[in-house]
Amino acid sequence: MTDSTEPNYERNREHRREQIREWAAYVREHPDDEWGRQVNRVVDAQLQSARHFEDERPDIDEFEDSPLFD
Amino acid sequence: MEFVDDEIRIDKPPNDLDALVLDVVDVLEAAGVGYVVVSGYVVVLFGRARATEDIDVIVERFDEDTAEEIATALRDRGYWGPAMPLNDLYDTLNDGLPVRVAEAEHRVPNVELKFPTDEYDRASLDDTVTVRLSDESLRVGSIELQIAYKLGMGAQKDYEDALYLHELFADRVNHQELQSYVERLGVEDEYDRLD
Repeated sequence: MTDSTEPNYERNREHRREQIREWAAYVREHPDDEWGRQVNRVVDAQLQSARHFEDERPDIDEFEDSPLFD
Repeated sequence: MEFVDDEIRIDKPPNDLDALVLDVVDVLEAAGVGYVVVSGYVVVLFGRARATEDIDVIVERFDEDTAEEIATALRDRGYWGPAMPLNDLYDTLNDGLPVRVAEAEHRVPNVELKFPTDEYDRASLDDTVTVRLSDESLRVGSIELQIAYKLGMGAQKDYEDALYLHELFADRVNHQELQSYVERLGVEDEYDRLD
């Protein structure tokens, strides 16, 4: 059976790669402060969110022997 | 981003990950312990905008007294071991396990310290690049090894990290050294796909 999602998956992956190449070019060509502020926003927002929920999620070490992590 | 002698200079304000790792490596440096920062955080430091909560740091082996000095300094700066007490720093590392360090009462973000366990950890410690971030500095693993190692990890996220570093440092990497790591790690096919 053909997986109808495969072409989309491959297209999405290539799109992501192109975005990464474009962002690398942007970082190379622009002042640190310019790309740095954008990266800092992503990093700090993600950490803020992770901290907000950190008490509610299990410690991953408790599941290190689980087959789910094979 | 400026390349001055053997140093890479980044002139941006530190984010929360940067602040954490700079503080922890300051403790290691004060204790005279060699270290290298590797893996995902390095890619974020160089500008990839992606989520990460762990900062991997390989440390040169040290003795019990040094471990006590490091643990005390970390506690004094308001850190704890969310997975195990900092009092167990030496025994845990010596058992080949990582030790996580985070701000007291938090689990993220965290710095994961570990002793070198294989030839690539060793190579990372032996082949570092100094990154100056604002007025502070830290040592990260060589870009060539980071790219090859990331290619060997297999996950899409890691492939994309390798791609990002390869693109960003296209004119700066030592291609002979990169090729050598690629061959040692057996990731020739993945490397070919970067172009």
